[in-house]
Amino acid sequence: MKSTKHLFGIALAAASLGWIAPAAADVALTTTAQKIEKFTAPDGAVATRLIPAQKVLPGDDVRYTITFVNGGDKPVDAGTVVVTNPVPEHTHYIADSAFGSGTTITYSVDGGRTFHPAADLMVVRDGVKVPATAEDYTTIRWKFAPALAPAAQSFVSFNVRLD
Amino acid sequence: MDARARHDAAEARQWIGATLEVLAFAALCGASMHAAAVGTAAGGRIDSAAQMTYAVGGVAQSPVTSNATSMIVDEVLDCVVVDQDAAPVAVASGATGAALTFDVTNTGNGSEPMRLAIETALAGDDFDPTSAAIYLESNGTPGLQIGAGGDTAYTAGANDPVLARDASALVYVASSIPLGLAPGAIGRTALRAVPRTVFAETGTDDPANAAFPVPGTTYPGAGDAAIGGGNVAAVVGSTFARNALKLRALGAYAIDAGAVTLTKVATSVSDPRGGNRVLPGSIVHYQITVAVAPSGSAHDLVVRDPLPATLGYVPSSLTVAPLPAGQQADDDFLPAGVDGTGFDGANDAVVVTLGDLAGGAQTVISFNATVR
Repeated sequence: MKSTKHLFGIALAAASLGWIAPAAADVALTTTAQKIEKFTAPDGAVATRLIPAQKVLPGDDVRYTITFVNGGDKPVDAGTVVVTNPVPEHTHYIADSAFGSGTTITYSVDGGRTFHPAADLMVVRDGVKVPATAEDYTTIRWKFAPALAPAAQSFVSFNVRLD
Repeated sequence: MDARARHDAAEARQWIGATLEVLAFAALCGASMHAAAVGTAAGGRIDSAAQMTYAVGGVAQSPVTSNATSMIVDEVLDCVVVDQDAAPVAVASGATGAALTFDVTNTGNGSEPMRLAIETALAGDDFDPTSAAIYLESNGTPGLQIGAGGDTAYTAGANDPVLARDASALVYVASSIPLGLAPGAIGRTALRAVPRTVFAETGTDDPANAAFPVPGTTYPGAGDAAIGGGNVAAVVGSTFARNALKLRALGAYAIDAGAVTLTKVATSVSDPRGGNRVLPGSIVHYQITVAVAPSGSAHDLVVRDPLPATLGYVPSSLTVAPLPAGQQADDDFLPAGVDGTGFDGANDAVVVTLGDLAGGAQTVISFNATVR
């Protein structure tokens, strides 16, 4: 009897180390798309504004904003939040437009298999290996360094141009 | 890389999939013979969703996927007209059916009928071509052919050519050239193309009309009905800017006295003794070739060949190939005969009436003459 209780205590301790109840941390992810519209202000200056994007034309610029919120009661570990977004079909990524406070941004040119910093990306053109350009990017990835406390939120964004 | 090549390259990336490196784009970058590259097809959907991975307490959690956003590509209305004649088309004064050739390309991103129009009363030239008519290349034979088996006569609104995104059509303008013009005189005619949706929405296809739209004008729901479920708007594109200069192209005719050339050759001589020497009684076979330059045309053409006193026309030896309709290759001609082709005994001349000939036409006239 004594040995069984002892064994049971150890089993419980072992379980609490590796097993976590689901839905203890609830992170919600939302995406919005906005058209970056140029307009002429009353003083004649040309400025841009963001409007909802439903109908677009070739050549239009669109900003995607991805917001993540920790709706759970436990903090999300630092350095573990990784947001990945493919460059949508019929568009191409606009160089240097990806943004994310506290993030390290990497890109893929092989459909999301591997990710590298922009400066390290290479493609093969006409049999020669050359540095990739923004038009070659297939996927964007943000790695969020800080922890995300309960109720905290942050966002990342990037711009594309319609082909 | 132009937008079209980028689009093709993106599809290739997704198709390649497993390979680590993106292969050369060279094979996908086709050269366009026409105007600006077109964009993503109207009605196309642009979808995006983000994915997130994270860990809590050292344990990786199930990945989270965001909502999906979706946009629709509207239809851009755009076209470009380009003159295909490398130089002014050589014509004779009084010619009819003289053809200018144009290429009309749909540079928008959806299928669209194109409404065509001619502008003739243009300033800055020496004469105005008249009776201009539009024909659509339709019979597979290069160049304009009018009549049975020829190209299709165009009527605005009745047979506007429907061009798919990035497709082109060859269009001819056939005109009459006034009489009495001096060689070198230039006459200009312009062909204009306007996407028919613009005409349907505004009632005009004339850039001079106040209702003619500027780039960016949007007609909700007027996009290509075959795509987007009628949800697609039609938006006037950039070639409508600056008084629609690209929607029209100028063609020109130049009066050219050298549009028709005549060549006469003595192809054989047979003498009374069975040889081929020129002796009294020898019969000489003459061949006259009448050729119209490919870019030229002839109007009311009559060929006269006066014979010298030393030659006598051999009766009934005249042949004309091809023989124009209404002419007979006999010796009679008006007013004694029924046509304008024959032998003019009073003036000792072979006369052949060829009428109107189109560019590239060739006629061979032959007859025999006796050495006196």
